[in-house]
Amino acid sequence: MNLTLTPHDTFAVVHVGEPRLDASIAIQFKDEFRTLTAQCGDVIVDLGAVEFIDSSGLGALVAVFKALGQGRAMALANLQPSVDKVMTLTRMNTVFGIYPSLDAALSAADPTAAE
Amino acid sequence: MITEQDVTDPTDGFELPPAIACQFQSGFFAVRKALIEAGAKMASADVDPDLAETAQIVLAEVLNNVAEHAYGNAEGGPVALSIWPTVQGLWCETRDEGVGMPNGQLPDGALPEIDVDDPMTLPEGGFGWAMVRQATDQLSYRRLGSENRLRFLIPAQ
Repeated sequence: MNLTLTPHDTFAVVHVGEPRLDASIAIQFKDEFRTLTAQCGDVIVDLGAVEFIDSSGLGALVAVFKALGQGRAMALANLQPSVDKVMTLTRMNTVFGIYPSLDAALSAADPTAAE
Repeated sequence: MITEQDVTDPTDGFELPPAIACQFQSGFFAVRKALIEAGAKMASADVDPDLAETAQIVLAEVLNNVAEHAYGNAEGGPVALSIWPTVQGLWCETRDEGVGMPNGQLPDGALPEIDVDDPMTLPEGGFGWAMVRQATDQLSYRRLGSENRLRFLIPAQ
């Protein structure tokens, strides 16, 4: 599982380095994401490398969001067209903050520190 | 290529060899591999990229459902995928020899309830058939002997 966390002051960015977030890796993704984000604040998920997501991958994103607990936010950044289509079809675009780029998400999270 | 006339009766036309065919065995990794193969074949057949993208989203749900429910997560069950690009869009058919749909019926595919004000109640599943129902037309399911056969059209925009 290719997941890396970049800590910032009050939040962290999780880069998902998997080309397909699907049923074959959904459980492993949930486990590793939860471990990785156990100690950080709000989370921005950089999905730029993810070309494809299925309903299991989407369910995994919802699960890790819920695992953050009340009071910690999660936003998605850098969605490829197919991933964006799944968010729209399932209306999960109304649940997650979605940013067109990582820079846009960083600016929203911390306007003073964005690159 | 099937013409519009050929598919007026949806059981016709499917006798023509599909332009795109994949055969594989059940299992989530095998489904992943088959979807990548089908994606490459659709690109080679000059299928509209947006249509091919939607087809992959729908086929992922249908084929993972076969792996999980028809074959109960057992690996090695035969699965066949066929795609006929037509002027109407992409006609797709999947066949497997797993157990049939409960009561011979497809799930209705209502989107799960979403309450954005209460994130802890957000659904973690139930999206699959909702996406299939939204993105397809003329979805039909038949149990023929020991075979499940699902057919649908991904309509051209």
